[in-house]
Amino acid sequence: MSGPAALAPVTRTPGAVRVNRSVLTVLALLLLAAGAFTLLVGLGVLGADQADRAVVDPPVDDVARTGWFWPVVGVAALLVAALSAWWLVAQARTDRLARLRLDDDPAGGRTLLEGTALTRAVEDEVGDLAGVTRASAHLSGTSSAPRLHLRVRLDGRVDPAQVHRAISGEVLAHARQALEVERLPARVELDLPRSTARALG
Amino acid sequence: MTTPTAAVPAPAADPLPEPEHRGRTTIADRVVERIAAAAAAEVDAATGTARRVLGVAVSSADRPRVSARVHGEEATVEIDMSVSWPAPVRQVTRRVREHVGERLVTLVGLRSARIDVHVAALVVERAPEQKRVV
Repeated sequence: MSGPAALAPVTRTPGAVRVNRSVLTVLALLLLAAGAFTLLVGLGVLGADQADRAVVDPPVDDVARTGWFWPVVGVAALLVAALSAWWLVAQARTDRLARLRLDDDPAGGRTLLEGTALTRAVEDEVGDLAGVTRASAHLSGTSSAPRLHLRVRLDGRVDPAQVHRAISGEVLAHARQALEVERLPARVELDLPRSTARALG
Repeated sequence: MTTPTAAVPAPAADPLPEPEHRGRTTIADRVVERIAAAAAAEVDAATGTARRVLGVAVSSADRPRVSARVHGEEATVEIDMSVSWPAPVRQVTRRVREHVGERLVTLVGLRSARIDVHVAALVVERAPEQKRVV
Protein backbone atom coordinates (compact mmCIF):
# COMPACT_ATOMS: atom_id res chain seq x y z
CA MET A 1 0.00 0.00 0.00
CA SER A 2 1.25 3.49 -0.76
CA GLY A 3 0.01 7.04 -0.77
CA PRO A 4 -2.17 8.67 1.88
CA ALA A 5 -4.04 5.41 2.58
CA ALA A 6 -0.84 3.88 3.91
CA LEU A 7 -0.48 6.79 6.34
CA ALA A 8 -3.96 6.46 7.78
CA PRO A 9 -3.34 3.98 10.66
CA VAL A 10 -1.17 6.50 12.46
CA THR A 11 -4.15 8.75 13.15
CA ARG A 12 -5.37 6.16 15.69
CA THR A 13 -3.34 3.93 17.91
CA PRO A 14 -3.41 0.20 17.09
CA GLY A 15 -5.26 -0.41 20.37
CA ALA A 16 -8.01 2.08 19.53
CA VAL A 17 -8.37 0.61 16.05
CA ARG A 18 -8.78 -2.89 17.53
CA VAL A 19 -11.33 -1.65 20.08
CA ASN A 20 -13.33 0.12 17.37
CA ARG A 21 -13.36 -2.96 15.18
CA SER A 22 -14.52 -5.31 17.91
CA VAL A 23 -17.16 -2.92 19.32
CA LEU A 24 -18.57 -2.22 15.86
CA THR A 25 -18.60 -5.93 15.03
CA VAL A 26 -20.49 -6.79 18.22
CA LEU A 27 -22.96 -3.93 17.66
CA ALA A 28 -23.47 -4.99 14.05
CA LEU A 29 -24.14 -8.60 15.03
CA LEU A 30 -26.62 -7.53 17.74
CA LEU A 31 -28.51 -5.18 15.43
CA LEU A 32 -28.49 -7.72 12.60
CA ALA A 33 -29.88 -10.40 14.94
CA ALA A 34 -32.58 -8.02 16.24
CA GLY A 35 -33.51 -6.99 12.71
CA ALA A 36 -33.64 -10.54 11.43
CA PHE A 37 -35.78 -11.62 14.42
CA THR A 38 -38.24 -8.75 13.88
CA LEU A 39 -38.44 -9.50 10.18
CA LEU A 40 -39.11 -13.18 10.85
CA VAL A 41 -41.86 -12.35 13.37
CA GLY A 42 -43.39 -9.78 11.02
CA LEU A 43 -43.43 -12.17 8.06
CA GLY A 44 -45.27 -14.72 10.15
CA VAL A 45 -42.52 -17.33 10.01
CA LEU A 46 -42.88 -17.89 13.77
CA GLY A 47 -46.62 -18.26 13.50
CA ALA A 48 -49.39 -16.01 12.10
CA ASP A 49 -50.68 -15.07 15.57
CA GLN A 50 -47.22 -13.76 16.57
CA ALA A 51 -47.13 -11.50 13.49
CA ASP A 52 -50.48 -9.94 14.38
CA ARG A 53 -49.60 -9.17 18.01
CA ALA A 54 -49.32 -5.55 19.09
CA VAL A 55 -45.84 -4.45 20.18
CA VAL A 56 -47.02 -3.81 23.74
CA ASP A 57 -49.95 -6.11 24.37
CA PRO A 58 -51.29 -7.22 27.77
CA PRO A 59 -48.72 -10.06 28.34
CA VAL A 60 -45.83 -7.63 27.70
CA ASP A 61 -47.49 -4.99 29.84
CA ASP A 62 -47.72 -7.50 32.69
CA VAL A 63 -43.99 -8.14 32.56
CA ALA A 64 -43.34 -4.36 32.69
CA ARG A 65 -45.49 -4.12 35.79
CA THR A 66 -43.53 -6.68 37.80
CA GLY A 67 -41.34 -5.27 40.56
CA TRP A 68 -37.97 -6.23 39.10
CA PHE A 69 -38.51 -4.93 35.54
CA TRP A 70 -37.52 -1.26 35.92
CA PRO A 71 -34.47 -1.93 38.15
CA VAL A 72 -33.22 -4.36 35.50
CA VAL A 73 -33.77 -1.73 32.78
CA GLY A 74 -31.91 0.80 34.93
CA VAL A 75 -28.92 -1.50 35.45
CA ALA A 76 -28.82 -2.34 31.75
CA ALA A 77 -28.88 1.37 30.86
CA LEU A 78 -26.05 2.04 33.32
CA LEU A 79 -24.06 -0.79 31.76
CA VAL A 80 -24.59 0.64 28.28
CA ALA A 81 -23.58 4.10 29.53
CA ALA A 82 -20.41 2.73 31.13
CA LEU A 83 -19.45 0.81 28.00
CA SER A 84 -20.08 3.90 25.88
CA ALA A 85 -17.93 6.02 28.16
CA TRP A 86 -15.14 3.44 27.97
CA TRP A 87 -15.41 3.44 24.19
CA LEU A 88 -15.22 7.23 24.13
CA VAL A 89 -12.11 7.22 26.33
CA ALA A 90 -10.52 4.59 24.09
CA GLN A 91 -10.70 7.06 21.18
CA ALA A 92 -8.61 9.59 23.04
CA ARG A 93 -5.90 7.11 23.92
CA THR A 94 -2.62 7.90 22.20
CA ASP A 95 0.67 6.11 22.17
CA ARG A 96 2.54 9.38 22.41
CA LEU A 97 5.53 9.31 24.67
CA ALA A 98 5.53 12.35 26.96
CA ARG A 99 8.81 11.59 28.72
CA LEU A 100 11.59 9.07 28.49
CA ARG A 101 12.94 7.32 31.54
CA LEU A 102 16.67 7.13 30.94
CA ASP A 103 17.89 5.95 34.32
CA ASP A 104 15.95 4.57 37.21
CA ASP A 105 18.04 3.61 40.17
CA PRO A 106 16.12 3.69 43.46
CA ALA A 107 19.25 4.59 45.42
CA GLY A 108 21.06 6.92 43.05
CA GLY A 109 18.12 8.70 41.49
CA ARG A 110 16.38 8.71 38.20
CA THR A 111 16.69 10.61 34.97
CA LEU A 112 13.74 11.80 32.96
CA LEU A 113 13.95 13.38 29.56
CA GLU A 114 10.96 15.38 28.40
CA GLY A 115 9.76 14.18 25.04
CA THR A 116 9.29 17.78 23.96
CA ALA A 117 12.98 18.44 24.69
CA LEU A 118 13.96 15.97 22.00
CA THR A 119 11.20 16.81 19.55
CA ARG A 120 11.86 20.54 19.83
CA ALA A 121 15.56 20.01 19.14
CA VAL A 122 14.70 17.86 16.12
CA GLU A 123 12.11 20.39 14.93
CA ASP A 124 14.60 23.24 15.24
CA GLU A 125 17.30 21.38 13.36
CA VAL A 126 14.97 20.28 10.58
CA GLY A 127 13.45 23.76 10.44
CA ASP A 128 16.89 25.21 9.78
CA LEU A 129 17.41 23.01 6.71
CA ALA A 130 17.15 24.73 3.34
CA GLY A 131 13.75 24.28 1.77
CA VAL A 132 11.85 23.58 5.00
CA THR A 133 9.15 25.97 6.18
CA ARG A 134 7.92 24.10 9.24
CA ALA A 135 8.61 20.86 11.04
CA SER A 136 6.71 19.14 13.80
CA ALA A 137 7.69 15.99 15.62
CA HIS A 138 6.40 13.69 18.30
CA LEU A 139 7.55 10.49 19.96
CA SER A 140 5.76 7.23 20.47
CA GLY A 141 6.69 3.78 21.70
CA THR A 142 8.51 3.17 24.96
CA SER A 143 11.50 4.70 26.72
CA SER A 144 13.76 1.86 25.63
CA ALA A 145 12.37 1.71 22.09
CA PRO A 146 11.15 5.16 21.13
CA ARG A 147 9.85 5.99 17.67
CA LEU A 148 9.99 9.38 16.06
CA HIS A 149 7.29 10.88 13.89
CA LEU A 150 8.27 13.85 11.86
CA ARG A 151 6.14 16.00 9.62
CA VAL A 152 7.98 18.46 7.43
CA ARG A 153 6.44 21.17 5.31
CA LEU A 154 8.61 22.03 2.33
CA ASP A 155 8.66 25.30 0.44
CA GLY A 156 9.06 23.51 -2.88
CA ARG A 157 12.27 25.27 -3.83
CA VAL A 158 14.56 22.43 -2.78
CA ASP A 159 14.55 18.85 -4.02
CA PRO A 160 12.61 16.79 -1.45
CA ALA A 161 15.15 13.99 -1.84
CA GLN A 162 17.86 16.35 -0.66
CA VAL A 163 15.80 17.35 2.38
CA HIS A 164 15.14 13.71 3.11
CA ARG A 165 18.85 12.90 2.90
CA ALA A 166 19.68 15.74 5.28
CA ILE A 167 17.03 14.56 7.74
CA SER A 168 17.99 10.90 7.72
CA GLY A 169 21.69 11.58 7.50
CA GLU A 170 22.22 14.37 10.05
CA VAL A 171 19.15 15.05 12.15
CA LEU A 172 18.22 11.45 12.87
CA ALA A 173 21.88 10.65 13.54
CA HIS A 174 21.90 13.45 16.11
CA ALA A 175 18.70 12.15 17.68
CA ARG A 176 20.18 8.64 17.92
CA GLN A 177 23.31 10.08 19.44
CA ALA A 178 21.38 12.10 22.01
CA LEU A 179 19.23 9.14 23.00
CA GLU A 180 22.13 6.67 22.73
CA VAL A 181 20.08 4.21 20.76
CA GLU A 182 21.28 2.09 17.86
CA ARG A 183 17.99 2.34 16.09
CA LEU A 184 15.43 5.09 16.11
CA PRO A 185 12.62 4.09 13.79
CA ALA A 186 11.38 7.29 12.25
CA ARG A 187 8.44 8.14 10.10
CA VAL A 188 9.00 11.20 8.00
CA GLU A 189 6.20 12.89 6.10
CA LEU A 190 7.22 15.50 3.60
CA ASP A 191 4.46 17.93 2.64
CA LEU A 192 4.95 19.80 -0.59
CA PRO A 193 3.03 22.98 -1.33
CA ARG A 194 0.11 22.18 -3.61
CA SER A 195 1.32 23.99 -6.72
CA THR A 196 4.78 22.45 -6.65
CA ALA A 197 3.44 19.01 -5.87
CA ARG A 198 1.56 19.15 -9.14
CA ALA A 199 4.51 20.53 -11.05
CA LEU A 200 6.78 17.75 -9.83
CA GLY A 201 4.13 15.22 -10.79
CA MET B 1 25.94 20.91 80.73
CA THR B 2 27.51 17.52 81.35
CA THR B 3 30.80 16.58 82.83
CA PRO B 4 33.35 14.99 80.50
CA THR B 5 33.43 11.23 80.75
CA ALA B 6 36.20 10.13 83.00
CA ALA B 7 37.04 7.10 80.86
CA VAL B 8 38.12 9.24 77.90
CA PRO B 9 41.66 10.51 78.36
CA ALA B 10 41.62 14.23 77.70
CA PRO B 11 44.62 15.37 75.66
CA ALA B 12 43.64 19.04 75.82
CA ALA B 13 43.91 21.01 79.01
CA ASP B 14 40.31 22.08 78.76
CA PRO B 15 38.47 19.02 77.46
CA LEU B 16 35.39 19.59 75.33
CA PRO B 17 32.16 17.79 76.00
CA GLU B 18 31.15 14.86 73.88
CA PRO B 19 30.46 15.88 70.28
CA GLU B 20 26.73 15.27 70.58
CA HIS B 21 26.54 17.77 73.41
CA ARG B 22 28.49 20.54 71.75
CA GLY B 23 25.75 21.60 69.42
CA ARG B 24 24.14 20.55 66.25
CA THR B 25 25.20 21.32 62.70
CA THR B 26 22.36 21.69 60.30
CA ILE B 27 22.80 22.23 56.64
CA ALA B 28 20.20 24.37 54.98
CA ASP B 29 18.54 23.02 51.87
CA ARG B 30 19.62 26.18 50.14
CA VAL B 31 23.30 25.39 50.67
CA VAL B 32 22.89 22.02 49.00
CA GLU B 33 20.93 23.63 46.20
CA ARG B 34 23.61 26.23 45.50
CA ILE B 35 26.46 23.74 45.57
CA ALA B 36 24.58 21.22 43.45
CA ALA B 37 23.69 23.87 40.86
CA ALA B 38 27.28 25.03 40.62
CA ALA B 39 28.58 21.47 40.43
CA ALA B 40 26.06 20.50 37.76
CA ALA B 41 27.01 23.52 35.67
CA GLU B 42 30.64 22.39 35.71
CA VAL B 43 29.83 19.28 33.71
CA ASP B 44 30.36 19.60 29.97
CA ALA B 45 27.21 19.84 27.90
CA ALA B 46 25.08 20.49 30.98
CA THR B 47 23.32 23.83 31.07
CA GLY B 48 20.30 25.35 32.65
CA THR B 49 16.82 26.01 31.48
CA ALA B 50 15.61 29.56 31.58
CA ARG B 51 12.47 29.92 33.64
CA ARG B 52 9.75 31.07 31.33
CA VAL B 53 6.58 32.95 32.03
CA LEU B 54 4.26 33.08 29.02
CA GLY B 55 7.17 32.23 26.78
CA VAL B 56 9.39 35.03 28.00
CA ALA B 57 12.61 34.02 29.70
CA VAL B 58 12.69 35.58 33.16
CA SER B 59 15.82 33.93 34.52
CA SER B 60 19.22 33.24 33.09
CA ALA B 61 19.83 29.86 31.55
CA ASP B 62 23.43 29.31 32.52
CA ARG B 63 22.82 27.14 35.57
CA PRO B 64 20.63 24.13 36.20
CA ARG B 65 17.84 24.75 38.69
CA VAL B 66 18.04 22.65 41.80
CA SER B 67 15.71 21.95 44.66
CA ALA B 68 17.02 19.94 47.56
CA ARG B 69 15.92 18.56 50.87
CA VAL B 70 18.35 17.58 53.55
CA HIS B 71 17.47 14.85 56.02
CA GLY B 72 20.32 14.52 58.48
CA GLU B 73 23.30 13.28 56.52
CA GLU B 74 21.34 12.44 53.43
CA ALA B 75 19.74 14.58 50.81
CA THR B 76 17.34 14.31 47.95
CA VAL B 77 18.23 16.58 45.12
CA GLU B 78 16.19 17.39 42.05
CA ILE B 79 18.03 18.93 39.16
CA ASP B 80 16.17 20.63 36.33
CA MET B 81 18.56 21.07 33.49
CA SER B 82 19.20 21.17 29.78
CA VAL B 83 21.70 19.20 27.76
CA SER B 84 23.49 20.50 24.70
CA TRP B 85 22.18 19.04 21.49
CA PRO B 86 23.25 16.46 20.33
CA ALA B 87 25.29 15.30 23.33
CA PRO B 88 24.31 11.87 24.70
CA VAL B 89 21.74 12.73 27.37
CA ARG B 90 22.21 9.66 29.54
CA GLN B 91 25.98 10.04 29.72
CA VAL B 92 25.75 13.74 30.53
CA THR B 93 23.16 13.22 33.24
CA ARG B 94 25.17 10.37 34.74
CA ARG B 95 28.21 12.61 34.87
CA VAL B 96 26.10 15.32 36.49
CA ARG B 97 24.83 12.86 39.08
CA GLU B 98 28.33 11.61 39.86
CA HIS B 99 29.84 15.06 40.03
CA VAL B 100 27.09 16.60 42.12
CA GLY B 101 27.11 13.61 44.45
CA GLU B 102 30.85 13.82 44.89
CA ARG B 103 30.73 17.58 45.55
CA LEU B 104 27.99 17.20 48.11
CA VAL B 105 29.93 14.48 49.88
CA THR B 106 33.21 16.38 49.95
CA LEU B 107 31.99 19.95 50.44
CA VAL B 108 28.93 19.48 52.57
CA GLY B 109 29.87 16.22 54.22
CA LEU B 110 26.69 14.41 53.34
CA ARG B 111 26.81 10.65 53.51
CA SER B 112 24.77 10.14 50.37
CA ALA B 113 22.45 11.97 48.07
CA ARG B 114 19.70 10.79 45.84
CA ILE B 115 19.84 12.86 42.70
CA ASP B 116 16.92 12.97 40.29
CA VAL B 117 17.62 14.62 37.00
CA HIS B 118 14.94 16.11 34.81
CA VAL B 119 15.97 17.18 31.35
CA ALA B 120 13.50 19.71 30.00
CA ALA B 121 15.32 20.86 26.89
CA LEU B 122 18.07 19.93 24.51
CA VAL B 123 19.60 23.20 23.47
CA VAL B 124 21.92 24.13 20.67
CA GLU B 125 25.02 25.70 22.14
CA ARG B 126 24.84 29.38 21.29
CA ALA B 127 28.31 30.34 22.41
CA PRO B 128 30.12 31.29 19.21
CA GLU B 129 33.57 31.29 20.77
CA GLN B 130 33.12 27.62 21.59
CA LYS B 131 31.73 26.59 18.26
CA ARG B 132 33.92 28.52 15.87
CA VAL B 133 37.23 27.32 17.28
CA VAL B 134 38.94 25.34 14.54
